[in-house]
Amino acid sequence: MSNDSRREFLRHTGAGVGGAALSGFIPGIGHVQAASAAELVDPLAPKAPHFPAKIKSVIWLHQNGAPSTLDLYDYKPELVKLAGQDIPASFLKGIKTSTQGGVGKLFVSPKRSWKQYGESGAWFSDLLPNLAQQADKMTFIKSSTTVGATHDISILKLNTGDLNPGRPSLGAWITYALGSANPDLPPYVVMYNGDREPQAGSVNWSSGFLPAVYQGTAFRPGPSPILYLDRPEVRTAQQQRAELDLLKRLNALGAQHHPSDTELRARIQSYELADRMQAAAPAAVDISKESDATKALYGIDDKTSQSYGEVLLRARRLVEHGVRFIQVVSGFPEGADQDRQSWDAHNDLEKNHGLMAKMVDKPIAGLLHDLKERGLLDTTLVVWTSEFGRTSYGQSGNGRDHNPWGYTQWLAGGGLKAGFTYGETDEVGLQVADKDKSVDTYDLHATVLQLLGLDHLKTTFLNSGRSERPTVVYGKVIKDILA
Amino acid sequence: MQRLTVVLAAALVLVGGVVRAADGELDMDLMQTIEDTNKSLASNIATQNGAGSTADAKELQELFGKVEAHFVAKGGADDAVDLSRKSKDLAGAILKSVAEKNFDSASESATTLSRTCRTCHTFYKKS
Repeated sequence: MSNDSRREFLRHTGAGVGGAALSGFIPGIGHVQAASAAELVDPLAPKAPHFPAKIKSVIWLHQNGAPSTLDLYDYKPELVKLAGQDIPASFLKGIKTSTQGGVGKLFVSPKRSWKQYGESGAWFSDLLPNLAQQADKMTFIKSSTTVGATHDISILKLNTGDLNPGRPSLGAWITYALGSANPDLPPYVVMYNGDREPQAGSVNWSSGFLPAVYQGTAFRPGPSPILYLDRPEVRTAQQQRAELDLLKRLNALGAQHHPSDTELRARIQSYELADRMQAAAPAAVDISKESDATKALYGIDDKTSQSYGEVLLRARRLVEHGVRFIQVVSGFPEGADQDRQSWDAHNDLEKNHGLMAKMVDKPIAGLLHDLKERGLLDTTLVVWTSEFGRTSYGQSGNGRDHNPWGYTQWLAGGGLKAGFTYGETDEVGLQVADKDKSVDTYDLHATVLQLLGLDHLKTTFLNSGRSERPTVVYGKVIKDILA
Repeated sequence: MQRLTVVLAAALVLVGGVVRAADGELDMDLMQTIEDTNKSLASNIATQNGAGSTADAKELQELFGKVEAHFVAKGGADDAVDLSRKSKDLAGAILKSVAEKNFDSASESATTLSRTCRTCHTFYKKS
C-alpha cells in the first residue's frame, strides 16, 4: 500500500492511532470522529455540560509535600491523651507501615492548641488563625484516603488518577469537556510560588492521551508570569500579525497532510492564543493596581506570605476573567531553608509547619473572603488538597511520616453544604473510621466534575479504541456534601 | 538429554504450582486478568457495546467465583469471601442491566464493583 493510499485509508476509516486520539465524546454533541472533531469544531470552543453547573471555575490548591492535617483541622483529644506512648496495635490493623527508623511514639507538638470557630464549630489549630475565621464557608472531608507511595507518584494520582504518567490531569479533562470561557486566555492555568517549577513536574498538568491543546499553561511567579509575552520593540504589531498569518497558513497545510497530529493543532492554537494573550494576559495577571487593602488581605504585605498571596490574588483575577481551572501548587517563601521548602515534615514539624502555615494562612483566608465579597464564591470552587496526610505517630522524634489512610481535605464554594464536615478518622487520627465513607482522589474528581455540570461516567474519550474517563474505573460523587 | 530437560522443566512447573498453592497467595495472572477485564468492561459499557459488556461481565463472574473459592479454601478470610461474593453478584447485576439496555445502571454497578476491588485490596495486600 502506498503512503498516499494508506493515508487515504486511515482518513476514511478514522482508525489511525491519531484518529482514535481525536475521536471522542463531546458533551452536548455526542461521539465524534477524528475528522469532524478536528476540522469542524474549535477544540476550545465552549461546550454544554451534561446538566446545569453549580460553578464556573475551580481553584485547586495543592499543598505540596503533604501537610499534617492532624496539626491543622483534625483535633483528636485521645491522641493528646496517649501522646508519648506506643500506638495501640488495634489502630494499625489493616495497614502496612514502612516508616524509616520504625513507627515512633504517638506524637503531639507541645505548642499545639485548638479552638472551635464559627457557627459550624469547626476545629482549627493555632497554626491557622486567619483561615479559622472562614470556617463557615468550608466543607471538610475528614475521611480522605489514597495510595501511599513517594510524593511524586501520589501527586500524580491526585492530579491524574493514576500512579503512572500518561493520563490527563483533572484540569485537562475539564478543559476538554467544557472548552474555554475566554478565548483570549488559556482555560487551564498552573501557578506556583517559590523560585522553581514544582518538583513533581508538568506531567501533573498534562493532557495525557487527550489532544495536547487541553494541557495546562504554567504561569511563573514574580512580576512577569508569562515568559516572552511582550512583543519585541523592533517588531510592529502589523509585522507580527503578518508573520502569524503566514505561519498559520503553513501550519494549516501541514495539518491537512497530518490530520492526526494533535501536537501541531495545539501549536496552531498556541500561536493564536499567544497573540491574543499579549493584550489580555498582562491585564489579567497584573496585581499592581489592586488596592493596598486587598494586597494586605492576601498577606502580600508580609514577607512569608507575599509570594503565595500574589499567586492567589492572580488566581482570583483569572477567575474573574473566565479561566476554568487554576491549579496552584504551594512552594515556599523566599529564603526558606532547604528542608522547609514544602510541607514534608519528617522532622521538626513545628518549625516546618510554622513556616508553611504562615505562608498559606492569610492568603487562603483572604481568597475566600475576597471571592465572597465580590459575589464570586457561589460560582467558584476552592479545593484544598494534598497528595496524602501525615501519621499520628512520630518520626525522628518530632516529625511525622506519610499517611495515605486517613487525612483531611476541604472544599469551599458553589453547590456545597458550607460549614459542614463529612467523615472522620479514628480516635488517634491514623485511619478513616468508617471505610464506607472513605473519599479517594477519584471521588474528589467525580464531585468536582459534578459541580461543573459533568457526569464523570459520561465524560469519556476514545483512546486506542478504549473509552476512558477521568475517574478511570472508579469514582463516586460525595452526594452528602452537596447542597 | 532433550527428554531429561523437558521432564525437569515440567517438574519445576509442578513444584512452582505447589509452592504457590502452599503459600496461600492468589495467582497474580488471575488478578491481572480481572483488572484488564474490568477496564474493558468499563469501556464497553461507556460505548454501549452490549455484546462486549456481556462477555466481560460473564468472565468477571467466573473469575470472582475462583477468587471466592480460593479464600474459602484458605480460611480465616471472611472479608475476602464476602467481597468476592459481592463482586460476583455485581457482575450479575451488570449482566441484567446490559440485557435491559440500561447502561447507566450497568455503569453504576461497574463503578461499585471497582470500589469493591479496592476495598478488598486494602485488606489483602501482598507483603
